[in-house]
Amino acid sequence: MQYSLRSVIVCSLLFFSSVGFTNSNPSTLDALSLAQLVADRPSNEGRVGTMHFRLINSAKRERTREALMAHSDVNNVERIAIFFTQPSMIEETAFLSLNYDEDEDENWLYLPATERVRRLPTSDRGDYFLGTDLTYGDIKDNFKFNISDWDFALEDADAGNHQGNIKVLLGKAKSPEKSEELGYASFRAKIDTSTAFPIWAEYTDVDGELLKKVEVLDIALVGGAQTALHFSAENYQTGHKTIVHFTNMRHVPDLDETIFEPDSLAYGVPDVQE
Amino acid sequence: MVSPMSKSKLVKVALVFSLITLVFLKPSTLFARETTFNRSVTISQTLAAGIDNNNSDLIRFSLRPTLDAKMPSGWRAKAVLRLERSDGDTGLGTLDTFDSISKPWDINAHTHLELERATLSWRKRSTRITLGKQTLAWGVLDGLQVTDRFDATRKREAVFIDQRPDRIARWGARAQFKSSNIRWDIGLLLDGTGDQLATIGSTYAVRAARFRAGLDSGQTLPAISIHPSNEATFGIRGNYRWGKSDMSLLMIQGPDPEPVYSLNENGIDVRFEARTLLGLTWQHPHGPRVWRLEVASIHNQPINTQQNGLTIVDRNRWLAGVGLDWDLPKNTFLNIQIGLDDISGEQLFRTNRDVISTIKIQRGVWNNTLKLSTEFIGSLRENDGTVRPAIGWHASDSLYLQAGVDIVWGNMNETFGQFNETDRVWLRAAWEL
Repeated sequence: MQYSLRSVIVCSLLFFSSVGFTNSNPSTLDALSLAQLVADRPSNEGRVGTMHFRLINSAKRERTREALMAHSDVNNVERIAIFFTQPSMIEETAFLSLNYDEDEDENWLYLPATERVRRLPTSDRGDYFLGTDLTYGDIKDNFKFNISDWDFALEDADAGNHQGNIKVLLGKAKSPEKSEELGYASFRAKIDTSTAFPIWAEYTDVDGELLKKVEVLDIALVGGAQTALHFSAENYQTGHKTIVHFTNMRHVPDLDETIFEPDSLAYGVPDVQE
Repeated sequence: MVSPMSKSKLVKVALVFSLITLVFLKPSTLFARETTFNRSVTISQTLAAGIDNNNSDLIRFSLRPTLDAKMPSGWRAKAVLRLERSDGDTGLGTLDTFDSISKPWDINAHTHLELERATLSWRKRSTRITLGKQTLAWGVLDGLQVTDRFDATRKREAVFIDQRPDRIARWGARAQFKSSNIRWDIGLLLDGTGDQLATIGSTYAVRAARFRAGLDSGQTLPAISIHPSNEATFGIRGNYRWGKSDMSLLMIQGPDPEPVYSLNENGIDVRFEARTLLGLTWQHPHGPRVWRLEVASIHNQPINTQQNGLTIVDRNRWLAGVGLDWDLPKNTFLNIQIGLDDISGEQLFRTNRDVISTIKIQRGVWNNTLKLSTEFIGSLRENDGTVRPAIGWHASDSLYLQAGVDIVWGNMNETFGQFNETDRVWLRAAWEL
């Protein structure tokens, strides 16, 4: 259960990876500037939406999840609360993640079976969230590439993959230790410079073997910010795939902060006043 | 302390309050188009076979329909029924420890029907008021009940269950709110239900003399008369954030769900005597670890002593526990806990100090569809315990299958050793519809 919830967090963070429009001239960007452009992408304020998951294994067996998700980014604290509504087996399970800029993050979980809100340990970035095809680092990085983690390069223009606003950014972990920490040795990502958003990325594992790809399939303007509405992550080595899409996603600028209090997880799905 | 007479008054007050609440809840609100109903049914089947003998054989079927109505303006009503049938020596436990207002209907010796939960709640921001049959789960440790002593629990299978403790909901009211950065939780339960015990002679009926007022397993118990308490249970907890730590202070006053025994003309009375518990909890995260601590003091713990053969006295009791959650690589989770239970004085049937340890390691594979776990629970002073390896498989969104083994060691007069003839293998299937 713990891991299923983490999968939701992963997807939530990706969901809330929203961007503002930039003024950069794509033709003049070098690799570091492009990475910085992505890293500096602005965050969203309050939003709420219904999240639909499809977790598909290599035998094409599919599990589905549905949850109400609330997000807020105020005073340098990113808050995500997820309240499961389907299937019945995990209904009323709720998860809260509080991500601080300069302090250790907090994770809280409410399991109906235990009837208690429980504080969870913070995981290593390279840990895989069971049930998903994303790592905890994917969550933290939020579709961004941390400047201190990677050495960047632009793909050779002769490869022909730079088209219009799309630039291909390459990243290599700064050290073997960093690679172990991230769970990745390198990545290759297509960046839409008009949104500073990676729309496609492939990663290799710590041994340099091709590991997985992440695709953003739909982005929409919500509350003045571009937001990923549909994306997938596929692990090449296991054949497992995670697909996420959102419905009824709306901007709620004055989102009730009490939704993000740990005790509130036990209260059930909140009524969100818009 | 609430007397039996005042309890009766409190029940009436609660009923009137519930009635007023319902009357003044506009029908248009109750039946508003915005009201959503959610129905679900959980069906589970457990099969167990004894390894040493057939004493721990078990076939248990459970059906739990749930109706959940979410109304406008923060109102919500929820009811859960539990229909159980059990064949084999494990049984469904005694019903004599239940208060008459909570007692399940024993359709026959093998089948019970119980109103497991029935609540009407109202919520606005950090405030929630809940009326009805409910539980109050406090404490921060897993299964080690140091401050988590508000609820009565089912002990018909001792510790050999999936989720400990297995709480029994009781009738009452609860208010949760936030004031000056303190989260308050206040409960008043008017229902005197105590811990549900295993039926005498069943697989997990207590055998150790320490739990039988000094009578060892070879001695036949005299006629037993169980008397649920007439008193209410009141509790208050304040929870405060202190830096990265979370702390709470709490007080519980009312009948101890653990029974004590006294002699009567025909045999033994089983009672649930009142006590006051003062407690503290603390939890602190440190990277992939979370440390947890609980301490409780009970100055008037009712306990049996050998004075005059069998006497109930009040003694000082200290409980303490420390636990560590550790998120290890490769989706592995480790939980280690150690608990201390100390009661002062002489001539007790139990030892003055118990030290219980639990270790659980769990790993999820195949994108967490398969869960492997092993749990150890043991007494460090009596050198008895149990180890419980298990495997769980999420076969689909609605079907969860589990299999496991319970292995017990120790001698017959020890906390876990008393069940050393109940080694078993078990299978469980749960459907959610």
